[in-house]
Amino acid sequence: MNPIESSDELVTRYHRQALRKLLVLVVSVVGVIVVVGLFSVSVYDSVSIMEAYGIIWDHIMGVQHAPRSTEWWADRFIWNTVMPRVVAAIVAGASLAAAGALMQSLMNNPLADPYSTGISSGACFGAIMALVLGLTINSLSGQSGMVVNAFLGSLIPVAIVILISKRMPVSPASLILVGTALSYFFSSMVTYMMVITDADTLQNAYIWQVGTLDTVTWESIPLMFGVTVVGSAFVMFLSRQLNILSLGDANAKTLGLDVEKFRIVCLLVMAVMTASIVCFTGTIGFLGLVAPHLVRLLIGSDNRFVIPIAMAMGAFILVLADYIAMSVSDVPVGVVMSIIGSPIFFALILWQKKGYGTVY
Amino acid sequence: MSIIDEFIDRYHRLSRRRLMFAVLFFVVAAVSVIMSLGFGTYHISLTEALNTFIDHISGGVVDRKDDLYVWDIRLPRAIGAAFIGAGLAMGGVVMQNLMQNPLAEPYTMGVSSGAFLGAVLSMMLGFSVVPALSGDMAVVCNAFLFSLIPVAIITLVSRFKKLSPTAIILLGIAIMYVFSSITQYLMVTAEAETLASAYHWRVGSLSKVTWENLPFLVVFVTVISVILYTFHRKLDAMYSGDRCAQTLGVNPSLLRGVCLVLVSLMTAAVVSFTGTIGFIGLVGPHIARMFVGSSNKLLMPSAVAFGAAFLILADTVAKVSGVNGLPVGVISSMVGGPLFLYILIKKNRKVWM
Amino acid sequence: MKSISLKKRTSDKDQFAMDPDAEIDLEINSLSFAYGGPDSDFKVLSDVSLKIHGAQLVSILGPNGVGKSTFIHCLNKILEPTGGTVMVNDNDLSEITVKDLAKVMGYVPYTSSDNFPLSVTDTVLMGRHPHSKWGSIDDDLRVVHEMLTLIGITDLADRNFNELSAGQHQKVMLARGLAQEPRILFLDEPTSNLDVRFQLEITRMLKRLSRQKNMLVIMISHDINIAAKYSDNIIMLFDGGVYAVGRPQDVITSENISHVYEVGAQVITDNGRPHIVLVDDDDTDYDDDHNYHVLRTG
Repeated sequence: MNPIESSDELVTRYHRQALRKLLVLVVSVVGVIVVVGLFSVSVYDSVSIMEAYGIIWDHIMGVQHAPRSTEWWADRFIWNTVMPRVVAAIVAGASLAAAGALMQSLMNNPLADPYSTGISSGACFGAIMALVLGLTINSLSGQSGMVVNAFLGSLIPVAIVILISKRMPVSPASLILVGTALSYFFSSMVTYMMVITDADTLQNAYIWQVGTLDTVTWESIPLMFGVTVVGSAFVMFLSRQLNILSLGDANAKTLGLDVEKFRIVCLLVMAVMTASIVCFTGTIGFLGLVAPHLVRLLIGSDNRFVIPIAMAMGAFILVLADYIAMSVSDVPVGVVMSIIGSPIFFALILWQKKGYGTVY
Repeated sequence: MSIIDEFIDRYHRLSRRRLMFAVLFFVVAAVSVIMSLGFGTYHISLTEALNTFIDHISGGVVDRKDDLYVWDIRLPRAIGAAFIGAGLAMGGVVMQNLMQNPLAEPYTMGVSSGAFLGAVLSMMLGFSVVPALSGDMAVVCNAFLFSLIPVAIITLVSRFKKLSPTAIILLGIAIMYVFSSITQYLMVTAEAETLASAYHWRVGSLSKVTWENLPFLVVFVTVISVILYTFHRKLDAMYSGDRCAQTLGVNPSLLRGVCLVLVSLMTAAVVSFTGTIGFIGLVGPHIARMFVGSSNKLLMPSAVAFGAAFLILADTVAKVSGVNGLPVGVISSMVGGPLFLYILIKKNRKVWM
Repeated sequence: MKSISLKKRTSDKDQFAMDPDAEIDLEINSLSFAYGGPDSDFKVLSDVSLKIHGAQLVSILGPNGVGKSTFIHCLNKILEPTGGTVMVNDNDLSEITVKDLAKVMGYVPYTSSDNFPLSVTDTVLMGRHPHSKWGSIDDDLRVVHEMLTLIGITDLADRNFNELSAGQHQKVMLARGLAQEPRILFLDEPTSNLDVRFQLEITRMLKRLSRQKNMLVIMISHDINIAAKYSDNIIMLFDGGVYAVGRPQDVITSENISHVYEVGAQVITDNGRPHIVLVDDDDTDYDDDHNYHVLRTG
């Protein structure tokens, strides 16, 4: 990089970078809006995109349409089939991306993702226990039993980490090792249940594990949404501390951060955020790992910007992947995301320019 | 004795003492191979099994059926378990060292996802890379060849661009995601029965190891492990980073390239017969490391011995649990996860980094 | 004590080797380096030419970011220069293999990010790798013991490297560099984490070893006075090139210091060697009469 000659140049450069950040944010948000329109049209094709936006807007504003008019039907279709799915995709995308960014800074490891401490295998354990053995808390049955089980299951590994954190060093390396050990344990239980069950149940369980937004309804939204809003606000509030943490544990301590406690608190917040998503959608992989990296490659690695922009980007990616998943055929969204996303990720690793938030 | 001699003597004594760990587990492995002949779904007592074994060696087979179970089914499986455990642990040691990452394992390069894709393509679409083959051999062959694709891609890329360890890991993950997403697509769209059989393939079982394919496994694991062991001093130098390794006369990129190909070949040979047996390659090296330190001269044999002993014991439990019982991959993770956690807390010391 | 174990290989002309008794010649011809290739804007060194002859202790001085480490990395093949050549006893560095070079050149890095549970003995033993042969390692262990004794860390022999302090790390790395028994040893601030006693002892030892082992020692230093006290010659880098080179008394002058480091300096002579006293231009008097004290109370 050239030396900075004058203070003017410093200012222009700063603004140029700020513009870049804004651009990424705007592209993501506009992207989400465009896909929502496309989605609506694909379910109910007798309205145009602009009309579809109008209908969504009217619904939000509380405008009532004449029963059985085109608008009324369009409203019913869009609002009951498209919107829960889209809203879930937005919330889940944002939440997983924020959790991923949080985890990567927390663990000082570019390979960390929201599932690194065993959350996904815990959730699978809970859900598949309900599915295969019919064991649920409060003997809830069907979908809700699975959701409650998955939610609680995903919190078990973190609970164990917190319980034993007093007796071991809370360093990133040992946390990841413990998380890996827990993942192995819970996945082996999952595998066991999958192996002993019959083929049809295994298929259901497998599809749940891959992650899908097909089953999301309006009832799922409030919990997901509430936890995500509170959680991401909390994460953004901590972004300055996360920046400090990237200097290393010893430095962070001298800057007044209680590193161990901070890590545990963040871990807990992240676990609840991820659990509230995973229990409805299954384990959607790839997003939490890759969305933060994509954003860092584009705008650098200041957590104050990475986290909010990664949330927008995550929402966009997930909505888009879900749209493609639905329009191509009934493939789970997780599959679409990794088929399209991983070559891009591959290319980015190879051809990234030094300077902007390099991954390595 | 002069001070220098005493120093040298103490170094050797310490090394020997640490090597006792390896010896201990080699003994455990050898004993377990023999003992495991007495365990399985076919009912035969341990003494009877041992007698059958001795009878076979001395050339006088008494009971054909006993002999079939002990000699033709159990023995190759037990020997296979030992070599597979040893190979995976060895692969883990080398990968963690090369990648300078305690989470690296033999599957980090995408070997397992490649193998699984190959197997699934054969099972579901009947696709075989080698056209003449069909059935089980096609599955094995497909798995073997596909599992080498990731390392081939990475080797190809590294010819044009210098890759850091992290870049290699990330590329491995990217390839893994591509492969497993295709696999997932096939799995999700498949019939329930086909999905189930593919899933069972992946979980990992040693029941497919027979006298016919055992030599292939043994040769791959032994030859590659021995070659890797000859690199032990070069690999030690890699601990202090690429730059320092270079000033110590090691060509880091070359060594990394060669070792990656070797480890992938070895892992491919193992995975294509048994499916993905997790845990040993990741945690086996760490457990050995806690006892003998990181010097590859001691670490490699110790991890190999531990891996061999561990997998035979896990497989014995798997056999005892019955036909529909626990697969060996499940046992190894189910026992190994908590065991690792316990050691991590009990020792309360930095494993690495 | 064993002599330097370099033997001239007459059978294989392609391989690079050095006669243990030969005088060392390090010739640097219009060396340039830029991060990101020859056309990049990020030039660090341009057109550096030097000739270093004979076993001696050479210090490289210069302000932060001037390219001292880059310079050394160009000389030991960690980085490939974007222009110019480096000749080691009339052999072009770019044509010497890494393995052959390691028998002749050692390197002690500045930071040791190495965080592995390898014992100190094993770490120092790494330095013997370029000379390693099949069979017994007893000869290598002898050299390791000699170096541990020399640095005074035999008591750390069985400890794990990742359990040591920064200063101890530095001593271990130094022992490793010496165990390599190189003809040319590069050190990147070898005494930065050591206390005053060891700063003096280690630098004095490097000078002594340069004589005893017929070895060229080139070290980067930030301590001008230590460099001036022990170095045979000093290379002062500034603005991408060599600003001054020569005997300490010729290089360490108040003009050079104030130009290169942009601080005032007064040079006095101590035992025939220059010694600098830094001068602060800011003459604000903080030592006024406000109340402060530190007292021992126990």
